[in-house]
Amino acid sequence: MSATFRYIRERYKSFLKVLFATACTLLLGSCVSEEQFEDTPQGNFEALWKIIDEHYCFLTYKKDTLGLDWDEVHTRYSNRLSTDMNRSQLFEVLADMLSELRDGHVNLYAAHDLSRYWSWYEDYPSNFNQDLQDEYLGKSYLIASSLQYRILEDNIGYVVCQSFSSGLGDGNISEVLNYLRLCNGIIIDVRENGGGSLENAERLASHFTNESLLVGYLQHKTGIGHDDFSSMTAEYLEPSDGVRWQKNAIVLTNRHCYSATNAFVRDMKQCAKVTVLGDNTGGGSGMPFFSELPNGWSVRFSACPMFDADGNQIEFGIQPDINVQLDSADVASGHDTLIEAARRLLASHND
Amino acid sequence: MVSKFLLCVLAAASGLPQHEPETTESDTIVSGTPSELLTAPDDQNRISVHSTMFGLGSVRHLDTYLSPLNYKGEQLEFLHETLRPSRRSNLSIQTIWQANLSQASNEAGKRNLIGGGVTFDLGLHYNWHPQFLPGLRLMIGGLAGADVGFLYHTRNGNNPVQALASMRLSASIAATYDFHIGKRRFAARYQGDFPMIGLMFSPQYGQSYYEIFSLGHYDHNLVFTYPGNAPSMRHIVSLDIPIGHTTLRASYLCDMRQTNVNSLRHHSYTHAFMIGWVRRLARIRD
Repeated sequence: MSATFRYIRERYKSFLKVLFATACTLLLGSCVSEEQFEDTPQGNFEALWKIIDEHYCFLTYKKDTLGLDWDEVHTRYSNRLSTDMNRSQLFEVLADMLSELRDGHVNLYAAHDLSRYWSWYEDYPSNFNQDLQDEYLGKSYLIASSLQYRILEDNIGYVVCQSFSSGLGDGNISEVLNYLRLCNGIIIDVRENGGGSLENAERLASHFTNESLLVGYLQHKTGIGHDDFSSMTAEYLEPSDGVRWQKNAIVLTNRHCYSATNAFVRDMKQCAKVTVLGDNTGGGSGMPFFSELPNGWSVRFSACPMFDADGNQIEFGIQPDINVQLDSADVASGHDTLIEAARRLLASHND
Repeated sequence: MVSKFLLCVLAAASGLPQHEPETTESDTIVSGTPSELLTAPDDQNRISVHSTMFGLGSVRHLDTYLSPLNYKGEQLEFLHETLRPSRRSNLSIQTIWQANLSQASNEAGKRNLIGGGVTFDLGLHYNWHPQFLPGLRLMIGGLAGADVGFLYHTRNGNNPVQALASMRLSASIAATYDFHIGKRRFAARYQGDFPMIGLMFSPQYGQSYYEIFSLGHYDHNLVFTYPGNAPSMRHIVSLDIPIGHTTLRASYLCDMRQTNVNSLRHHSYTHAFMIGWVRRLARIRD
């Protein structure tokens, strides 16, 4: 054995001794664990409050805009706890505490109930009438995955998308746009669309641009502090390889456009020949995560905030380019004010 | 002279020393405990020891990316080890394949967590034979390893899974002791592995996999690990038991994996009892 090899071997042994000593010290004193709460009213309350405190992404934003003080919320709601309260009473307290966040992406799931905050659309005019939409679609409309579509009498393509939850492929979208290719314009009606997959929303929007577009920014939390966020990372909408719409398009919105649909509207607003018409969207720009309580209840909450192309929050919705409200007189006469306004606008573009 | 290698598989038929080896030119020097075989004279030590074991044990999972709750459950373990001596030195080469599959419940009894993974380690040990205790062999060295795995939470939405992937260099110590009970010769063994430095994948604290893989946004997703943020260790205690012409191996596995990176805490504590068999493969020069 060469002297060099022996030297290396001895050095290596010395190195290992140091590492072993370090490892033993660290292993004995560093058990990686997380604070566990008891399955009691107080324990479940503290667990839920902590989950929101450390993971929810809009605490600072809502403190600035709504005056939300999460520490004060703890004080106020902990006073409603008692050791002998039953499951339903505890659920009510926890649900009420979560409603302080005023966020449609926040829910508490128990076997007997689901807490929710739906004021983002319940407190506003719906600007939508299902019977009217059914009349515009008629009975012979086509269905491509989650898209229902037909050509209206004035040669305007009408596409309804009420959910981004089910699979929506480039093939589906290309088939729809190819079918409507001779139309003078297209209406994409996403009213009542409460969201779904961001990828589906982005995929549909990608058929309305010929170039890469900056559509917004995304952040995520990097720690438990209310202001521990990553830098804002730009999001780009890349043009689809399938059929791309080259004419004018109008997106119809109402307050029920939420979450992935909110992101879809954000993306479409950046497309050159797209106009957003209707009411504000409902918002919901925090990508939701899940967690759970010691008693087994699940909680959903906003974890990653999304922004528009100017870096503005869109948690409380996006304003349309043209605000149009559903008129009750139009409804009585069998007309959808928003659809008719969109048809007139597309007709004027072609004049 | 051109050498020719014969591969003799002496599993069940290899026998342990309760039978005097009936040697011939073609199948010689293949009996004995692993320690003996690995320390046989140079012209005889081309024998590698292979063990295959299956086990069942308990597991405790914590992964704060998925849930703040502790999970307890059962884990199936598979472990295959090869120990091969170097021809002209006191070094031995070890490979370990380890695989596991687990299911676990939280304190509320919700069986929400499913886990699985594969680990590979390649090790090099220096062998030392103390004079004061014949039959004892001490080993010291290191392992280079990698593992991939997952933890899947069946009720979560945008954070349903934690992908586990890492590479590491570990310090390793082992001791093997051969002893007799009656005419039978047994072998007891201990090995402890302690990861020292490495790299691991981790999402950032509140980062979704959609952001990482669909949008390609990276944020400290490859993390340097050391005992300060990944204090982990693996212990294996085993006993080789001669039964007829077969050598059974009974083992206890204690696998403690922990990480605390990107403000995310993770641990998987496994205690498993394993049983399997030992085979010896001999390459004999003519």
